[in-house]
Amino acid sequence: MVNLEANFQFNYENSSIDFNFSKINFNTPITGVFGHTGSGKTTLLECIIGINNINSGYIKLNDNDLVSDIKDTVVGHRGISYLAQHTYLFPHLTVFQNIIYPLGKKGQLDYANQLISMLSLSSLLSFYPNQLSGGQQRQVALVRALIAPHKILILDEPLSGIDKAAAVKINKIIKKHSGSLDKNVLYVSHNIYDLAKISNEILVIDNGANKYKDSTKSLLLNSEFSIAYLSEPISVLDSPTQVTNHGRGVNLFFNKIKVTAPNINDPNEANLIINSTDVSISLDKVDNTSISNQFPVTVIDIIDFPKHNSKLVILKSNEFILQSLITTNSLNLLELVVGEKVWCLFKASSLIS
Amino acid sequence: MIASLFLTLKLAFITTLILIPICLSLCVWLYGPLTPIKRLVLSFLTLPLVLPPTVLGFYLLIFMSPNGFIGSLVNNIGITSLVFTFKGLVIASIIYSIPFVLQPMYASLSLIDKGFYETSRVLGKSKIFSFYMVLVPMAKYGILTSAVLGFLHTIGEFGVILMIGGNIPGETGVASVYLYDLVESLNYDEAHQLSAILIITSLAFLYVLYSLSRLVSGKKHG
Repeated sequence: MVNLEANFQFNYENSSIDFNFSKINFNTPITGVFGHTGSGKTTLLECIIGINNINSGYIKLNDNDLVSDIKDTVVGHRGISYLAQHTYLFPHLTVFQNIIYPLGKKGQLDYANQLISMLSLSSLLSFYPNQLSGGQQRQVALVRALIAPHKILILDEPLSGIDKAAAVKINKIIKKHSGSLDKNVLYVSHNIYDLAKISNEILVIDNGANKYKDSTKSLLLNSEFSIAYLSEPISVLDSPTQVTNHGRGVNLFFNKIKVTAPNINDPNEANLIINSTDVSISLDKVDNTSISNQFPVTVIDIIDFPKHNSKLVILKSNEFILQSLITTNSLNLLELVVGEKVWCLFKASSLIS
Repeated sequence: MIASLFLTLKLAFITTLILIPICLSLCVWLYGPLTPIKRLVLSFLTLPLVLPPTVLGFYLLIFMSPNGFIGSLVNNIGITSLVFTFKGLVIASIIYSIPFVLQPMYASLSLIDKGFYETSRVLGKSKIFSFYMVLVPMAKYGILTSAVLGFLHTIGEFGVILMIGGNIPGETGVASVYLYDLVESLNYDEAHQLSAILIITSLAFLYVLYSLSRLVSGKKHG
């Protein structure tokens, strides 16, 4: 477990931000760090790591003051590994030499080889970084950061500029890494979908302060957060009780409810997320429809969602909670009220893994 | 003439060989934000670039005399005299050529995105390891340039040598001083030959250097 507390001022070239973080515990393997561009995410991380020096105040990691307790205020001795947005692969070293760079003489070459084969990088080992695509460079940099013998790993926008297939592989490795090696990962992104897929809990940074910190599922159901930060609310379906494969897709069972989803990697592992605009509501069961997922639910709340002049309807079954974003007109047409029993419908393909 | 040329090359070679590690060590220390003390040292080490060589030679003559600061220092390790000796010339050349090696080396190291160095530090490597394993290989062309400039500049040295070395054949009679003597004694034929050799040698070094620079930058964009 890791805890972080910070209170300092950081001066940019012609402005400054006050960072004020009350003590936060990171209890789960992967903590998402969310905030809009310019919210101070990267600056905070760079100060924690030591690349940026703070002008006044303190940053405490596990109750150690990083600035005054640790003599070498720079990087390296703080026990934090970091994957920056720029990969910074060393251009004069081959892919393999880059990957094993953090290892000492008795390094864990096995672990390196395991990661290399998981990401199918074996054929690239003798190449130089400038011979790789942007996505390949990022994968190599990730492996290098994972191999560094530090307890905490900070990833700043690890999926930027990465195609979908590579992103799935990268997320899988990060998950495996954090779970099996007892390491804490801070996964920074401005993309809530990326975070919803992988993180156990999410920290929201706004203007240098920790605005929210909650489990991913609860945060996404927090309408105050959705209204302030998201263009459309999303819901998470996780921990199915059973998964079966049927060729063109998978069936996920949440106790008695069966959800049909497209082919996804590791349905047991991944958080499945669904946009609130993809969930529709019907007063009665719909027969003869192409929509594969249809369940009885109860309306537990109706909230104004100002961005699209629409209403956010919270739907609850015994197994999960879904959010449906519908227009005010539709709401009036259905005459929905809290407590009403309705049917919710969504296509298999609207589930994103 | 051959002896003077050989002595010149020997002096330039030894000077460069000593200057490269000195300047690399200085760069390790100078790397990063330029604090006032670093600025002062950098200014001081750039002085030989702007001072008349005779000023430098004058002070070196005083410092290296047996009672001078450097003279008495080396006296402790058994070197009795530096003035009018080859050893003295080496020390003088090192001081005289420092800015020509340090400046391009420092500039090329500072031009590298500091993120590479920081990444190495984040990955757990020491400052010195990061400097030599990341920055130095990435700046290898700049370092080669500084070595060539230091070498050629030592070949072209005249004023300082005249002040502290004199013109002792085989000991301090390097090509530039020998040439001065040839002209003084109106031996224009040999002076022409020696000048031509010096021009061609320096030209060849610079040509190779610029050819390498084309190769290096070509590789980067390929």
